Amino acid sequence: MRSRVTILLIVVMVMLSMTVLAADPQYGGTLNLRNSSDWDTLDPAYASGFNAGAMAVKIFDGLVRFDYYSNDVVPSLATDWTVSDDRLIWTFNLRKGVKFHNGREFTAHDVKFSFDRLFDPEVASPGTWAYDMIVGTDAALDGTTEGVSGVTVVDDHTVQFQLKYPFGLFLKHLTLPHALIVPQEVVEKYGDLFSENAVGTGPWKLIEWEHDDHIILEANEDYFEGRPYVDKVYYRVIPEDLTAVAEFEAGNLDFGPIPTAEFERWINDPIWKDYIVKQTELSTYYLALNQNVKPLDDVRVRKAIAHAIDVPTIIETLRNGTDTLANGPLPPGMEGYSAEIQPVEYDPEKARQLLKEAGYPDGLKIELWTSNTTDRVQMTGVFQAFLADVGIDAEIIESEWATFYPAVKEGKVPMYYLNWYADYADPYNFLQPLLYSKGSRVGMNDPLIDQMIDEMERTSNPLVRYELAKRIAQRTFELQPYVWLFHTTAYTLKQPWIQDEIWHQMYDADKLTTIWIDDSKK
Amino acid sequence: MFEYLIRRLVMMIPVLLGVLFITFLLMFVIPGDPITNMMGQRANDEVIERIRKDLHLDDPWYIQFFNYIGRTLRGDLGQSFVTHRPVAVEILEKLPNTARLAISTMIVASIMGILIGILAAVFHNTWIDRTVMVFALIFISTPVFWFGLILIYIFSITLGWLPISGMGDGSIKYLILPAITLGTRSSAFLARMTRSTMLEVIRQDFIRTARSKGLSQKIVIFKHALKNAMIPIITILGLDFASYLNGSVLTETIFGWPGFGRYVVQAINKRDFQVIAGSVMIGAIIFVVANLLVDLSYGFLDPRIRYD
Repeated sequence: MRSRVTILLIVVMVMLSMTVLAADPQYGGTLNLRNSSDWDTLDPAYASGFNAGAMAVKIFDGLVRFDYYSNDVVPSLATDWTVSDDRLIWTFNLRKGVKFHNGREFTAHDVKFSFDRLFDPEVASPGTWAYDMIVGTDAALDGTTEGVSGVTVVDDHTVQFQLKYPFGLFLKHLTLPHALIVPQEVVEKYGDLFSENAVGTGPWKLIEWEHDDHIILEANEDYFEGRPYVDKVYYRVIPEDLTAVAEFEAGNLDFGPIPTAEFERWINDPIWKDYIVKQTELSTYYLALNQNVKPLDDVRVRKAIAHAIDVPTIIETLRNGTDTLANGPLPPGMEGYSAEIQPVEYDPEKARQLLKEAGYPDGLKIELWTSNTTDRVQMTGVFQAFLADVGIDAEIIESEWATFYPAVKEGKVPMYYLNWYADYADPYNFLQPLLYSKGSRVGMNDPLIDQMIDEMERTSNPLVRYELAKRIAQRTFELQPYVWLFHTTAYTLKQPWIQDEIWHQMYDADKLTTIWIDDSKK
Repeated sequence: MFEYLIRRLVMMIPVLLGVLFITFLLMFVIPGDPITNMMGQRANDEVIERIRKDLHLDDPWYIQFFNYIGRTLRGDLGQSFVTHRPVAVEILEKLPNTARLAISTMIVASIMGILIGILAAVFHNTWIDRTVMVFALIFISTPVFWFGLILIYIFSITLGWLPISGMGDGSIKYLILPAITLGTRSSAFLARMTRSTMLEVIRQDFIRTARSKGLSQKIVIFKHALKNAMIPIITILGLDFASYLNGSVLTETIFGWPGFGRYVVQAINKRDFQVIAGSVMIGAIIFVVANLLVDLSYGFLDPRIRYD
């Protein structure tokens, strides 16, 4: 009995001490953040890049969003939703009393307007791909109808979407920045300059935007989830990492990058090592092997290339040992990822043997394309050396992104080094763009994979989708359309006074509503 | 003089047309597609093609060229493919920032360069001359990127005297480091040029005459010698100024300075054709006007020069 009381007392004391230790969030202060380039736009219709999307979600809200601490989709401007039995009609009940920054109340008409605008041929949004499963989008885009017939206003606080076919990922697509809701009267007032005068319902109001210099956001006192703790956010455009680090060291930035060249210095710094945040990213770096180009149409050649490259050594040396060895297209942390799959082993002898079997006993010559950033050119140089060791003469073609990417998209590049980052957290978003036959940039044409991806798209059961994802990942080792290399980990410095910040794997999940500044640590 | 000015201004028209023509040709020759870049990795091909059509980017290049000339003559430089903002507005945002940096740089470069050059010429073949020339050589060979970071380390991080980057509240302290970074290299060139032209002038008869009249060294150097040595110096200063007005990508990048140079490079990387064409035209106007001003200044420096 006595020991039970003692244990109870200890538990109570520990809980009490934890309460004391966990300080209450403080309101006020200014967050000083950095962006490496100016934002192309803040207009959701055009926000296709990560920078633009990450900023747009601070100012605007969508019907749903990612949970701050998981990859679950949670309500935002919609409170709840129902789906018809045939999974074609999605009805969203909208939050009442939500106001845009101009004071006007948000209604279902704004949802309708935002989606109609996305498919307005005059607007020419790059985001139409994400919602082309909605009925009437083709006609709207052709200009034969005004607006999307599949999006209807039921009443002021209810909106309905009619789909062409069951699409299991509809909610996840609604988390994308293109689906953020904009007010019609402000868009019509400013036209092309809406981005400069962005007005949404989000937690932050756009106060000032000096292009290529800074953006200032101010807390929305009336935000429906409660105002953010911080009063203002001052985003500065600082292109150079080394300059940003200097600003961080001077205390002018609350977060700082760790440039590759400075990795050792920071990671071993006795003071700062406790303020380095490690974040695994939803990314996959790969070497693409285009099956439409000879001799890569032969699976033995593709497999030989996979066996020729010593990826673990590359990670240890060129990547400072920070990244995770890829065992397929899906990164760890992504549903459907399986740690049990074994990556292709580095085996130059086997590579030579496979080349011999494929009819290239004296090796072969092939182009290896990359965009011209220093780290990428360095990486392809290493690939070149490994390939040369098994008799493959890889000629490196380096070009600017503006040249490299359209060439890749045309599907004519034989072998290229690139990566994929998630648009939204679901394995479908990796497997469909990388492995589906339609629009493939590596000549994919595998009926089995196509069938499984189609099934992933239609099923509403996430468990079925994740199981299919595992099977597709396994299948890629038989076809070897890519050499899966690694999944990146981002390292960020943070100041000691920064509290409760969110480290989500999705670029568009954080709305900066939880972060606060502990003045006592300044 | 007036006639000369008019003639030079009229001559600007074929020069600008030529520059625009070559820019257009280059944009069609270099690989890369603005629409694919603008639309991101996920856009539908059909949408990309429609936008290409809407923006008349599928027209033959000469049609696009004449349309562009027509629009430009009406004062419309078009809209950026990426930001959807008017190009003229974007350029007008960047130019004042670049002009501030260019003017400060020229002040640093001309004061330092000319004074050091004079010093080296006056103390020709002494340790002063040799030291100055060694330093000039070092500064000419120093990479701007490295020099900027070293200045940040010394004056901002270690001593804490000056801000690290950005334009802040627009005060002069934000200009000092970028101007020194950019101006030091220029001043080294100017110092060498000033030294050699001054040496040439100092050896001439009229300087000997001035000295024999008993004029002080200060008056001989600054009134008689320097004025006569200024023509090549002004030529370099003028062209340097024009090139700084066209932006200095590295300095703007290190110091996060929102200038014209970085803006143009970003547009080239994104193949934002309207921005590239507009910027090249503005850049060409800056160069042509700077050349004209340099030519006009010759007449003031040397009254024997006539503009017929």
